[in-house]
Amino acid sequence: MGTPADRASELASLTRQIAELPPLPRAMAEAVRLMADDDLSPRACIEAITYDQALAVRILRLANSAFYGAPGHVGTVSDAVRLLGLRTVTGVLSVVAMQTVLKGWHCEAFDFENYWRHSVGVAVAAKELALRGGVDGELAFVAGLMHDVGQVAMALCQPELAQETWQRARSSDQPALEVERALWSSGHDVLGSDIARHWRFPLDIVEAIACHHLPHRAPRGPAALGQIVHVADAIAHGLDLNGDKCEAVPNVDSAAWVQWAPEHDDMLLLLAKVESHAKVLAEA
Amino acid sequence: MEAVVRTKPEPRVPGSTPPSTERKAGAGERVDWLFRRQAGAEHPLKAALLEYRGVRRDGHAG
Repeated sequence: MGTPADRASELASLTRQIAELPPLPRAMAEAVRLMADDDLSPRACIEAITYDQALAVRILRLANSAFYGAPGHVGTVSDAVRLLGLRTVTGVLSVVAMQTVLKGWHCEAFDFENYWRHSVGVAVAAKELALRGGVDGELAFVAGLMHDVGQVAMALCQPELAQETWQRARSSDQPALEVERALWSSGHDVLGSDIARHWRFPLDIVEAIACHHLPHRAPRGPAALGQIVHVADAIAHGLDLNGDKCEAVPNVDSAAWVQWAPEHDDMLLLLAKVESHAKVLAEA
Repeated sequence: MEAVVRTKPEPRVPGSTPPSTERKAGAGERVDWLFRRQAGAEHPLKAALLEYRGVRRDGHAG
């Protein structure tokens, strides 16, 4: 482990690297603008998707999956918006675009498939919890999908240190976040929120990523996405979606749990829904 | 869903092999393992997951 000065220097370097990350695909950037401002016209977003044929094909395939409830009925991007609604298409686009961007950052220190299965599970769970609590489900979905993006950045920017971090967490059976904070002077929660801010995601999503391990610091009230993502994260870890033998459910904040988790019988239904939908989405 | 009997998890030894991720065999052990960092009374999520995985609380296979 380096000195505090070394770590501060590494952190500054990481912050610079985040600022230099490539921009989002145009369609995703337009979708992010729409998420942040409901008054904007969706036309620019629809056009951007349509011009990116590879993206459009994958979006249509996913929009036609059982998860979105309209199998075989979505032939064009405009159909998708008409049948599923713009907010839902934004969620579909997020899955496809973020998978494309983050997979391009592949490095040996990081098991992207495990990461993606868990992220999709958190997205599905967050959306379900949000809808039950009268909160914007698609915003929660995207926040869940992005909540651990800081880990991908760690693997991309400092692969050797990232590998050491996660190996140490596994061998000592410590939460990765604790080891990250010891070795990086920061954690994937803070780095992930920096990335979301860099890509101009709505502030609610930036804060949700920053607070998903510390939900008591999340804003209270109906926009408490940080609490929702925290509970969704525990559910996805409990469902063991990522296939990691060393998986563990993190400590669950009791106030967030009481506010957002459904009662036992509803929880059983939620678990079934999250497990089946996450599988469909992760494989799409 | 196949019902399985819960057994108390072994204490974690650094470097030891954690329980399998196989769902049908040892589902209760796996859930116990997943909640090894939770202190205090059984968490409601754990209770729900045990039932969801078909693990009976009385220790008998259903």
